[in-house]
Amino acid sequence: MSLLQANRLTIRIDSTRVCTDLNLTIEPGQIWGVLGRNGIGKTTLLHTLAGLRQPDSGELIIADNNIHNMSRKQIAQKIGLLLQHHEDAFPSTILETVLIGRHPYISQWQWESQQDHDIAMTALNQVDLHNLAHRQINQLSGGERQRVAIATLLTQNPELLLLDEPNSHLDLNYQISILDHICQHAKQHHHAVIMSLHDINLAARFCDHVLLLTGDGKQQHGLTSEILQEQLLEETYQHPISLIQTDRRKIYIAE
Amino acid sequence: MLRPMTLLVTLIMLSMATFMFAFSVGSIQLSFSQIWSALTTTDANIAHTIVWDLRAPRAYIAFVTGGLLSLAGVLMQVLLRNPLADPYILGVSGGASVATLIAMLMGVSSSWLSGSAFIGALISIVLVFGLSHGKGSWNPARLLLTGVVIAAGWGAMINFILSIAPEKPLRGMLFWLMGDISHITADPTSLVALVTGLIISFFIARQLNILSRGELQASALGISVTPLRISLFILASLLTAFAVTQAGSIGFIGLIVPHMLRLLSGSDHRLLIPASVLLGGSLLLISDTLARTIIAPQQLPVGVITAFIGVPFFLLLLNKSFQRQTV
Repeated sequence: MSLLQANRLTIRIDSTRVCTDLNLTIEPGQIWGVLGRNGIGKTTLLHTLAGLRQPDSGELIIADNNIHNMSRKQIAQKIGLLLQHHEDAFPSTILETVLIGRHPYISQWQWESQQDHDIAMTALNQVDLHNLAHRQINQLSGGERQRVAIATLLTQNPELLLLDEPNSHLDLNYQISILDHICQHAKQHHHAVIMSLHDINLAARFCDHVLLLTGDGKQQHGLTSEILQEQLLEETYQHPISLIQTDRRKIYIAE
Repeated sequence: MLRPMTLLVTLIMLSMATFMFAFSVGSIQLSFSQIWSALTTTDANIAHTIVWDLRAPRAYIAFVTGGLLSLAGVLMQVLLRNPLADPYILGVSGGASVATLIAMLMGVSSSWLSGSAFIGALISIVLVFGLSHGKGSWNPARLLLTGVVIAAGWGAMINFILSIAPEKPLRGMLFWLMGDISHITADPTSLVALVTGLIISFFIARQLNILSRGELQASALGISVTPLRISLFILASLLTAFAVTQAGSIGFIGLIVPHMLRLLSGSDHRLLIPASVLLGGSLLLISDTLARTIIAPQQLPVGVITAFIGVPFFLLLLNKSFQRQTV
């Protein structure tokens, strides 16, 4: 059973097309990268896949259920979304922020249990913030705030993780270690990841599939090795790209 | 940060202490034992009459009004995701004021004033909701702007009415506008409204925690944002309408009480909501007791006292919390 299936999905932002008749099947264990130029609609696509936005046409099937027939809470138990911007209107601690990830699983009158706390602390441990659990959220740096958001998503522990630029604000070491952790965890538990990325090299390193938004509402998707071709990338980004082959991996460089 | 239980127990004790204070001071001072015997026995003596007929009804109204305003303030702040929001920001009190002033101008008997205030508040709620709903999404920015503009419109009408009003009702009008609870009789409606509001808000408290993280985050975590926002708007507006109907526009309580508690104990609404009701009730009760005693037999509008107490206390707390952050 696939985790997510998009049938003939067309998305527009005003009159500009993001994708046209997109047929996508996300299977357990897959790691997808979404690439494309700034403003092409990567965020809009992820929000649509998360059910936060209606597609202009086409349908979304989540684990054999049409998304229209699911409540927001049911969707949140299956799909999690890492947002690009984090809003904190009022003071709260890191732990409180991470615990909101348990919301889809706790009934209306219940409070978070010890188990929920343990899950949250484990997630904080994974992003290296367990020592700051009781720190105020407004005292964090951009990178720390991003790691809190990632910990919130890990606490939610959905089957399909949609990550909108998971690496923004992150230092080099965290870019690799956190993505490593997310992807390993997803493969082990037969979950799947779809993430929008700016860095082609990260896509080449972590993703087994790539969806490339090439502009004018067109898209290409398939295995990473098929999609990350120099010519296709050059057309998409409208910039010359060269490829260096090391003994471990290919490295893409903007000329 | 205070532990939740410590905070709630402290606030319950504070509430009881403020009731004792309110029962004891006035033109005739009552001792603790006199109050106790008046509360627990049915002996018809002077202390019994003072407590039950004069001070208790007024204390009850002050406490309930304070609770209504603080609860409405918490809800408005989440709805608009704006720490500066107060219960009156969307024009509820403006509508109530205009209706009441018109009623006063027409010489309607005072027992009808609260009815007209409530009708005015409802008209304003429906107006703001209708105008901000329209087509397209129902977002806080549009709601806030619509509400603020409607409130400004009501403000202009209030000034217009005051400027054409004859001398005689003018003093009563001004007192009403400043927030005044000296002329009202106690009835259970507002207590029912407060308890109902408290139960509903407590029921949705965890959703409020998540809604304060933004609309997208809330949807992504399984909350149907628009229905929640609409219920919040209606609930907060109705609570405000009950408070305004009872006591006119008493400033500061609905703004500073939720804030003080956020600074003291964080923003978990499951704690914040009951705590706000207790602290708001206590603060308004203390203020009202002072309002009727400071320059007795002259009475001050209670809104003046809430500002005198609230402003410095709030600034002190704010200052302390920022000092702690920078260390």
